[in-house]
Amino acid sequence: MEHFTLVFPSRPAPPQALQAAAALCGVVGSGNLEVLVEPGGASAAQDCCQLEVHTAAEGFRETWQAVLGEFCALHAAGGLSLLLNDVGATPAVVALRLAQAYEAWLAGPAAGAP
Amino acid sequence: MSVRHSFLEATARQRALALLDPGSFREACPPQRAWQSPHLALLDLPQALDDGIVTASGTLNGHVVLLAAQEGAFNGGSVGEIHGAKLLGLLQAALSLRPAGVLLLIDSGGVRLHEANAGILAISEVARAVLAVRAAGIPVLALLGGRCGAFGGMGIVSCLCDRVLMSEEARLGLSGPEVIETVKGRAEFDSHDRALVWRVTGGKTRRALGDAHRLVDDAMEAFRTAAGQELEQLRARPLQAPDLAALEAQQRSWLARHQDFAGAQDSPPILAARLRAPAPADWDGAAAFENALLPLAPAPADAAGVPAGQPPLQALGAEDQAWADHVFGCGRHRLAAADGFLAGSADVAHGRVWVIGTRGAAAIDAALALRLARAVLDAIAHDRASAACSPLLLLADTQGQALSRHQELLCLNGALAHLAQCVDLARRERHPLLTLVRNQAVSGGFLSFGMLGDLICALPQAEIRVMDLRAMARVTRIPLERLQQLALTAPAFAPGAANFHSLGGVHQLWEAQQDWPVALAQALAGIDADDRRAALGQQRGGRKLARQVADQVRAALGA
Repeated sequence: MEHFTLVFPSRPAPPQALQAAAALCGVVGSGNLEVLVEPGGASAAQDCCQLEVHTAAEGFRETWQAVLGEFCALHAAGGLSLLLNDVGATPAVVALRLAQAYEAWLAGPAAGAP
Repeated sequence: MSVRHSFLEATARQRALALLDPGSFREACPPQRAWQSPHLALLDLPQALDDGIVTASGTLNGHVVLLAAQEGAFNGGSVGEIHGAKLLGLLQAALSLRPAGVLLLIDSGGVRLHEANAGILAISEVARAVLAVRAAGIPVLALLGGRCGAFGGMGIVSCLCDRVLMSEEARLGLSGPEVIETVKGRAEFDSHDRALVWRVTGGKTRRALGDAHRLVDDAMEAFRTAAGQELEQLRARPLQAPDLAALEAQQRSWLARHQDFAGAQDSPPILAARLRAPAPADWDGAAAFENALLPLAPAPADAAGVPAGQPPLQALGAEDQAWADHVFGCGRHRLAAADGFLAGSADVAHGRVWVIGTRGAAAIDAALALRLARAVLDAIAHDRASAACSPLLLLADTQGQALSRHQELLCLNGALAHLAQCVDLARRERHPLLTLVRNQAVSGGFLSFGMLGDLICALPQAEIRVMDLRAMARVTRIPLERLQQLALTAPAFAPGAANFHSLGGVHQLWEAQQDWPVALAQALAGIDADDRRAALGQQRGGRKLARQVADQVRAALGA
C-alpha cells in the first residue's frame, strides 16, 4: 500500500454545492476504486483541492500526479476534499470515477450513487 | 425496448437503490472515514468507507422496509467487525421499528479472515438477531444474486431467513469449492469446473431442493417484483416462528432429503426427481423453471426422525468417562456416545441438565447435525410433557463442518440452520443454554451450535478458531511470520480461547484446578438469555467498535 496526500490548485467549487453532504462513487474492488467527495476541512483554501490517496499499487506517484492534477484543472473543485481508496485502477478508471463522484456531489444526495 | 439491468453486475448501492421505491432510499450512517476497518489497516490492506455493506431504510411498494446490501467486490463481501455490526444494528432496529420486512441482499463468502474472530462473532450475533426478528413476526428475506453468493456463516444466515429468493447465477453453500479442493483434493471437488460448481451450489439446484423459495431472473426489476410479492403474501398470511411441530416436520424433510439423495454427487438425480418429465431441453428463464417444478411433498409423518445408518449409542469410553466425572462428579451423569455424538443427562445443584454435543473433534455433517437436532427436540418435548424446563448443556468439540461435495450438494448450511433453529426454539421455550467448549471449536460447526449458547465457557484445553494461521497465510497471502507477530497483539484474528474471551465471544475461561461442578452450578445460575456479547467485547477491550457501530446504525434508523 502507498498512502499520500496531494493538493492542486482548482477553481472554487459552486458555493451552494459546498453545503451538500459527502458523495461516494465506485467500490473498493480489484481494478476499481471508491472516491469520497466532501467539503474541505477548516484548513481548506477555496482555490485548492486536497486529495488523499490510499492505493494498493505501489510506485505510480507520477501517474497519480498527472491524473489528479488534470481533474483539478478541469473541474471547479476548490475547497473540496477527496478521499480515494484504490485497488489498482487504471488511470482511465480513476479519471472516470473522479468525474462521476464530482457530478454526484453536485447533484446532491437525492440523486443516488452511480 | 426495455433495458434489463443485471443484479449480478451491479454494485451493492445500485442494488439497494433499485430495490426500493424511487427517492425512498435513506442510508443509515453514510460512508465515513471512521468506519474503515482498523484490522485491515493493521495489515496495510485496502479499506472501504462503508466496510463493504450498505444499510438503509426505504419503502417497497409503499411499505416501510429495512435493507442491507453486501458489496461482493470488496474482500468478497466478507464480514468483519464493522461490517457485521452494521448488519446487527439494522436487525436490532427492526425489532423496535417493526417494518413490513427486512431485505438482506447477501453477497458474501462469509467471515473476513483478516479479522476472523470478530467476523465469526458478528455473524453469530447476526444469526441470533435474524431469529429474534423472525420470532417477532417481522419477515426477513434473503436475496441472493451476487457473484460471491452466500457461503460460510452467511450461507447459514441465508437459510435462517423466512424466504430465500435466488437467481440461477447465485450460489448458496457452506464451504467454497476451493477450500474443499485444497483439503480433500481435486477428485472430491474440482473448483475449476465452473459448470459443476454451479450444479452443486447454484440457484436451480437450491430451488429444486427447496432451500430457495423462488428462482428469480438476473434483473433488478425481477428481484424487486419478487421481493414485493413475497412481502405481500407474508402480510396476507404471516408466518409464525417455528414451533415444535414445525421443527419436527422440518427434521423429517431433512432426513427424507438425505434418504432420497444418499450418495448423490451431482444435480441430475435431484432435477430428475423434482421436475416434471420430460424436462424441457432449454430453460427460458426463472418462470419456466418454476412451472416445471413439482410441488414439494411433505415428508411422511411416520418417518423415523433420526438419521438412518448411524452407529448406536454406547457407554462412554475411558477418556470421556473421566472427563464427565470431572465436570459433573462421579455417578452424577448418564451419558452415551456414538462416534462424534454425545448425549444424555446429568445432575447439577439445581437439578437435571440435558447434555448434547459433539466429541473427538467431530467434523459436523448433515447426519450429525440432524442427530444433534433430534436430541434438542427430544429434550424440549420431554420437558414439555413433565412441565419442566431443564437447562441444555451444549458440548462443543468440533473441527468444523464436514468438507465434501455431497454435503454441499444437499445444502449442509441448511441442515446447520435447522439445528440452529432447534436450539433457538429451546431458548424461546426458556431452557437456559450453557455451552462448554471442551477441545476444538472451529468455524461453521461452532457457529451453528455451541455459539448459540446464552453463556459460553471454555475449558483449559479449548482451542477456538476460524482457521489456523498457516491456512490464513495461504488464503490472505500475508507471510506467516507477519501473522504470527501480529497474533501476539491482535485478538480480532488470532486463534485462541483467550482472544475470544476478550472479544466477548466466550464468557468464562475455566481453569484446570477449579472445582468444575461448582463452576457449572454457578454458571447456570447466572444465565441471561439476551445476547450481550458486543457490550462484553467493548467492556473487555477486544472489540472496541462493534457495539458502538451497531448503536449508531440503530439510532440513525430512528430506533
